[in-house]
Amino acid sequence: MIRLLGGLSALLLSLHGYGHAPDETTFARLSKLMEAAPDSQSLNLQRAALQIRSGHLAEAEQDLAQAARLGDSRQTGLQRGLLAMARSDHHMAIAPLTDYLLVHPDDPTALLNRARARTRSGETEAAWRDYEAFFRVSSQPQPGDYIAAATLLDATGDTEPALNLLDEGLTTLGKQPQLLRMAIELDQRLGRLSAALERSSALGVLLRHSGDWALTHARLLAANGQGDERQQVLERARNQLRNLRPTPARQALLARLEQALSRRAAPLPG
Amino acid sequence: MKNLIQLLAALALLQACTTAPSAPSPCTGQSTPTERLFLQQVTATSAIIRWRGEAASVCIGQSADSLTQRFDASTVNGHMTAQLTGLQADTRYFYAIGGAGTTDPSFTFTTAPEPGQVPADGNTHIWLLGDSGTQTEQFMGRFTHPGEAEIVKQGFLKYNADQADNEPVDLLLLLGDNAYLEGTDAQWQGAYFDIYPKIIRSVATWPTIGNHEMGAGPLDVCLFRPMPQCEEGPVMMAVGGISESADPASYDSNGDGPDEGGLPYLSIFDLPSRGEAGGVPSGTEQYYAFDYGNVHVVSLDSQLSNRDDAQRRAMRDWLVDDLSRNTLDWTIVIFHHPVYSKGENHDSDVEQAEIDMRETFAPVFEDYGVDLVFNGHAHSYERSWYLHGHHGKSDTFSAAQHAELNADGDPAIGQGEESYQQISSGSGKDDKAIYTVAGSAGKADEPHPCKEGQRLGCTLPDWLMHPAHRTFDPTVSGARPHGIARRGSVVVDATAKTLTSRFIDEHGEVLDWFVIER
Repeated sequence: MIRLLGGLSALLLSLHGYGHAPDETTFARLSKLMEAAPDSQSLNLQRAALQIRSGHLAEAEQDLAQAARLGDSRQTGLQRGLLAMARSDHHMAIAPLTDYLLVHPDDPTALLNRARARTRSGETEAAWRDYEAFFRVSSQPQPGDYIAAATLLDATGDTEPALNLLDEGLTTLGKQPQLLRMAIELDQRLGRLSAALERSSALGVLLRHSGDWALTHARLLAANGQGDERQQVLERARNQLRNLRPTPARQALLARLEQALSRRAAPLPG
Repeated sequence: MKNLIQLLAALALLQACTTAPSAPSPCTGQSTPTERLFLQQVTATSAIIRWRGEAASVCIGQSADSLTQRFDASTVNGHMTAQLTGLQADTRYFYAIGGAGTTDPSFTFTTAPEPGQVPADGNTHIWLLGDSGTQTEQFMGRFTHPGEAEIVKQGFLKYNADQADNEPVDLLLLLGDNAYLEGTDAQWQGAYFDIYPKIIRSVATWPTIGNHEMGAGPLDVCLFRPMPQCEEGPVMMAVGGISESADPASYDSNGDGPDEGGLPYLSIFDLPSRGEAGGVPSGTEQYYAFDYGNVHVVSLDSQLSNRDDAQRRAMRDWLVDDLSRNTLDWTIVIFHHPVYSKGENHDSDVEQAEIDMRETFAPVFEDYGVDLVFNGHAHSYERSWYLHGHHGKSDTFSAAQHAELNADGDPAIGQGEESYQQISSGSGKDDKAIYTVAGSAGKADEPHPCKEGQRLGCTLPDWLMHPAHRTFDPTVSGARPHGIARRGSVVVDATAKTLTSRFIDEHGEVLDWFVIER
């Protein structure tokens, strides 16, 4: 007992010194803790999570197998799902994530990951149901979540629902360039040029009519038969860029603008 | 006669004007004490004042003796919040919580200059604090770093009095880990509100999320130490700073599962997700940008958004949009996990969050004209050469290839004749940045070499030896070949032509500095 307490003291000192250590250090910490407590499911799960994140997948599998023997195996489902996804075996990730969701039905991390696993496995309808559930339970959905879900819908031909989702995201998060860009692209694909141009004008305000925005907007204007306006937008962007401090990005953009300006918009048919 | 009548009429009108009763002042309340009081999002035309306490309004004015404008407050995330609008740029305001007509003149703030303009005094004075939250750090019920953040603050105040003419701070930037160990609301009170009360009520705080803002992971103490309580079930011990989650709703302060209120950082701070302060709207308070005069500042999220591929990609795309739009003189980026570091327990060759930030974001910084990048996480000071194109591990760094060189072919130090030029003479472009790790505003790591096979809680032989960082004179106390193990904070001064960064130790001494000119 004295030896164990002495060991515990050393471990706690290590934990304190650790505070926030890199994964390599955390392995050492967890491994020592697991030597002292080989029957801890939570420690096995924690170490498996770190192994997965660091790419040590075989070791993670061993920890997860041990964790499954030490308690309710469904509790290991989230990490088993993440392990399968780390191996790009997305289909294999679905079952363990489903197990985990039986115990934790509103867990946003599990829902989001199952949505992604189902997307990669081609189970698009089920994936979308997971995204719907995720958006219902997530208190702080992020821009990347809306884009991933809208991309899924669009890929299955549900462009209109994808647009609706992006609009929902724009309402929840406020006007935001990544969601607006995708909405513009989808509007354009649906042939709604005026809607795309309207969104693009709003994006232009957000981005203070930056050179990048000008290129996109000019393409829309050309598609809408507004060749003169296209030219004006590109010229304004070029002139603005010429007066700014040169950066690699601005120089590359300037070259693209010059190239675009050298081509007049194609004449309208008929 | 006609002229006389007109004169009399004018005099009568003048008298009427001067004696007419003015509208009653709306500021007739009582000045009311608060539990915490701080400023957020001070722009050229607006500001947010937040506090905890009974008062439900604030009065402001341009004289402490005459507050004439009243703003009502509402409760937002557990704080009274007053949105002040219609303010004048670069103007000093006084305020009283509770709506009194006069105030102690120390309750004051100055609005930002118009975007693109320098402040009236010609300089934006910025104070940066990395890993300052140690006042609340405990180990087995004992406070382990009491008073250390205060010492660093006193060092800054001494520097400011002795060498900076007591210039008021314009911006306070937090580099993460500003409330140890789990970032609870109570820890924010002890490590932030109680340590910097006079500063944060006069200047806006702009934070970023560190690993210690994101709570704890659970461990069962009963597994190691049987106790009577263990008969009733596990006794969980929380270990702060180990969360790997990308979801702020998973915030767990004590190891027993997600807290109902979510991440305290997001409740305490009111950050511009919708472009309220001049940056491109991000749609999330986890990363954002703002303008202050001729300085553009971006706060990225290396703790949460960086953990998830889709979120990281969205943050990267947003950053490109934000920097593409930015035309201000200087650009500063802050986030917690350093892209180059050989700090104790934090190696940017090993730690995934640091690798992801370096590989995904450093190329954007260089392509889009970022000047300075500040991080915390490692409890020491490391400052890079003027870099371009080094996005791999430390053993791939080549000074000749990646650093601005002086006339002798050595990396330029950034001082005197070797001051850096924003537009590099070599490339003719603004394509380089300085990366600073400044995580010692609450504690500094000390040398205690690892024994054979030990990698935990000790200093490895390559401690503070990242070659992308500048070299230091080994005779300086605390100096290592490429870093300094001393407590301190950073001050940045931005004028129209120069951007100067200084590392200030706890005695108010400048241990490193460099200048970028434009």
